[in-house]
Amino acid sequence: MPKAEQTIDTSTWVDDYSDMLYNFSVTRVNDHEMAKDLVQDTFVSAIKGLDNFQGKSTVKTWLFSILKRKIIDHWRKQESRQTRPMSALGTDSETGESKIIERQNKGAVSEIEINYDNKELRAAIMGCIQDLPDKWKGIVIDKLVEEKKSEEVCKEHEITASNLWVIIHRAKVQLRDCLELKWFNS
Amino acid sequence: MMKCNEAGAMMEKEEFEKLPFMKRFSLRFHLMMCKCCKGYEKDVTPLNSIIKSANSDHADTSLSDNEKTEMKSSIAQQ
Repeated sequence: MPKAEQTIDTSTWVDDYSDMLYNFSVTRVNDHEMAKDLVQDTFVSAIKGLDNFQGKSTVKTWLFSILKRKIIDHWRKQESRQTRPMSALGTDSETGESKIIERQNKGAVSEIEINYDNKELRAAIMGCIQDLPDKWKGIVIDKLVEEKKSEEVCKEHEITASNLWVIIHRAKVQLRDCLELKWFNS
Repeated sequence: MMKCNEAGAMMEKEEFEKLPFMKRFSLRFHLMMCKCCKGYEKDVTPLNSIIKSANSDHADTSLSDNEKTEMKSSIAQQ
C-alpha cells in the first residue's frame, strides 16, 4: 500500500476540521453533546484506521465519510429505541397515503410567521425532522436544509430523480402534520 | 387525471425546477379539481422555508475552545 510517501499530521485535525464536522453532525442529530461525541469518535476511528486511508481522497472527504456512517448508526440506534408517534399517521411507504390525504386541506402551516431567529420554531422543526424515518432524514436534510443540488442528493442516496420528489413530498407531509401538532397544539 | 401522489411530487419538484409544459398543465388541472392537494399547495413554500431554518448556520451553537482542548486530550488517550 503506498502510504509511506505522505505522513499525515493528525495533531492539527481538531483545529482544522472539528468545526465543519460539528456543524454537519449537529444539523443531523439535533443535540450538542451527541454531535460533539460523534465528531470525537470520527477522529478516533480515523486515527485508528489511518492505514486504510490511501490518499485517494482528501482527509476532509475521508473524515466526512466516517462521520456520515456514524450518524446513520446513531439514527438506527435511536430508531430502534424510540416509540414513534408520527408513524401512527400511517406514513409507511406502501399504505400511508390515504390517512395523510385526509389531513391535507388544512393549510395552517402557511399561517406560521417564518423568522430564522425564532428558536422555538427551529426547535420544533428539528424535532420533527428527527422523527422522520431514517431513509428520509438524510435526504430531507441534504435537499431542504442544506439545499444541495438534486443530482448530488440522488447520487449520494442512490435514488432516482422522480423518487427524490416522491420522498420529499411524503416527508414534507409528515413534517407538516408534526409541525401543526407541535406548533398549534402546545 | 394525475393522481394525488404524483401531484404532490410535482409540487415539490416545481419548487426547484421548471416543469415540462404537459406536467404543469396536468398539475394545475389536478389542483383545480382536488381540494386536498389545493390545501397542501399553500403549505409547500412556507414549509420549505421553515425546514431551511433547521440549518446550523441559523443556530448559535458551536464548539468552544475548551471543548476542542478536551477533545484533543481524549483523542490522545484512546
